[in-house]
Amino acid sequence: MYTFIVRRLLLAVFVLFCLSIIVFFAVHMIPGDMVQVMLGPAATKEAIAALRKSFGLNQPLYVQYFLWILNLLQGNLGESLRMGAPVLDAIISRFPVTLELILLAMGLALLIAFPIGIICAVKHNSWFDHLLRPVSVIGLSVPDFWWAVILIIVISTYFPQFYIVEYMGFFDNFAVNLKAILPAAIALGITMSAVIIRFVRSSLIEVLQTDYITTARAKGLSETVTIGKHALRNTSTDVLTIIGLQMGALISGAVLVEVVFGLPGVGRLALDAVRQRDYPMVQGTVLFMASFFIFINLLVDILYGILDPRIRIS
Amino acid sequence: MPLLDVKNLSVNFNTLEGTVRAVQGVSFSLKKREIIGIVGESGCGKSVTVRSILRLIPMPPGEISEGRIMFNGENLLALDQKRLRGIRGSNISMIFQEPMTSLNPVFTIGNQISETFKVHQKMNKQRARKATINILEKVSIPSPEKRFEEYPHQLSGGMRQRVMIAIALACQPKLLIADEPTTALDMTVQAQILDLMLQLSDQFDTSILLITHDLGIVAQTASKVIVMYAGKIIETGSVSSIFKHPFHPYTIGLIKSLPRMGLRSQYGKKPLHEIPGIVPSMNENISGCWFAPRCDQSMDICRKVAPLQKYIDSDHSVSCWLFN
Repeated sequence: MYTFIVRRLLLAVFVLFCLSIIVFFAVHMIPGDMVQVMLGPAATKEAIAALRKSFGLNQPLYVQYFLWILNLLQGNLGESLRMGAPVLDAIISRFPVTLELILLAMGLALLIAFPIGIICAVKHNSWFDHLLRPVSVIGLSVPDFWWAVILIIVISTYFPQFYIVEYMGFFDNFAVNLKAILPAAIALGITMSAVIIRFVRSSLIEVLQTDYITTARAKGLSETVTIGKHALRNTSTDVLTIIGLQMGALISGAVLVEVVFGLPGVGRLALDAVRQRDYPMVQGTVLFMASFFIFINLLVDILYGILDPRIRIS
Repeated sequence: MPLLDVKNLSVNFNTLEGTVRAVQGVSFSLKKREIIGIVGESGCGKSVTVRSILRLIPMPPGEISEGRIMFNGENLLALDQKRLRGIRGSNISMIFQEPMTSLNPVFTIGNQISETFKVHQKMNKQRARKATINILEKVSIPSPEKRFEEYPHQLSGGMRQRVMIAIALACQPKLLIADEPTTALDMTVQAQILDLMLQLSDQFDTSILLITHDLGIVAQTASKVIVMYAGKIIETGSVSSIFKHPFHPYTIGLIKSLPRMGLRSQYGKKPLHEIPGIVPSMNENISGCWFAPRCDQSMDICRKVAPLQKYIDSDHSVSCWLFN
């Protein structure tokens, strides 16, 4: 188990290294120059060159990358060209918002998906199952930012008491915080739950046809124990896989939803940085969210081992 | 009163290609401490027949369309789910063919055996653990304390089948249904598992319904044989009577196809008998005898009218026009 985790960690470092290269060069390929944007169209060539030099942008790209990665290894993501403040500090101060949003969305998605997925699997080919299939296709097809816009319209029109203009921190004002984040989490969670419903359903249908489920029934166990203990435990690794993978969708969805709802999360930070060509900030946010995604999937891998003894003891 | 009395059991599967009549009008009975072997080719309905006893076939698409299964004077087909669960695993138990897949891979052996004690004998965790270690010893699993904590994938096929036997016999059932319990095992392990099953059922006064396609196993263990073909019983009788005087051409074919000492395969020669053709598809509607298309003695009537069961003597019956 420990060698398994160590191997995963080494792999994660390698993935992050490759990612840093992609992110760095991709960011520098975005058309438009930050300095040009900052100084406006009337700026003289000399002024632009001087500012570029002060940011280190006049050096060859590979040198810039090398300097960036050298700082990165020391835990320094550089300074934002726009804010003049360390990138890492900005990310850390914004991350709780994104984390809360993602966790809440995932929690909601699971809360919706598990009961429905289980009913669909146990009563598969029933009217409920047939009804749910087109509904989940709708859930899958409609993007989360559309849900976000619809939710804003609905809430501001029909439930103005729940409409929050100003975001407040989790510990500052919990009620306001929840009112601000919950609609965003719902918008993200709806799409997510549609994916998970399909997974729970198909995985459970498969497990329910296995011999060990017949054994469990032949032992005289109730359907609740047969499904709740013997079947669900075997679907959990499948569902965990999809949760890990869907984290990617949640993170990218969070960028759009944060913008629509005006939440000050990492997603919005990243988008603003792209708009302003704030290279270190874009690199920092992307790398940070990618690390978060890798971390979640590492957690999933470790959980596999806990849930499935065939992985743990081999 | 027989322990188990199956009367006119018919099971259908409603599939997209039509209704598959997996079991058609099967009747047999089993006395206390008796061992009956059910033989037949794959797909002849033997597994569906015995799984219907505990209503373990998937419903839908399966459907028990007709019949009565009396166990200890109770019709199992009329029981509510709760009462049925009380019988499953405690009065009637099952062992399945594939020990590799019939144990849940994510729970320990101990967990899976002690479940039976907890459900049926309302034991607490500690007593169930003791009882489990005790039954693991009975099925000759070495170092049961250690095995209790192990998972199915850490055990060999033979060991897993011992665990299945432990689960099945945990509550000393009156009836054990063994659905090809040794088919997936090595030859040497087969004999051990069979011996173990017989020895324990003798100790617990358990009757056995043994499904197999291996006539050799039936000859060794059972007192009565039921031969099934295409969802019907075509011949039934005591082991000695069936092996000495098989009547149905299918039974004769089955016994002839057994390999024997002294028969030697040589190039160009084919000493092992085979029954030509394949089992008919069960969603066909055949009015006559289902074996007629493969039978070398079939007559005109065989293709038109289904033969009735005919008693040759008190315990040997056959469904074939040759004897009607």
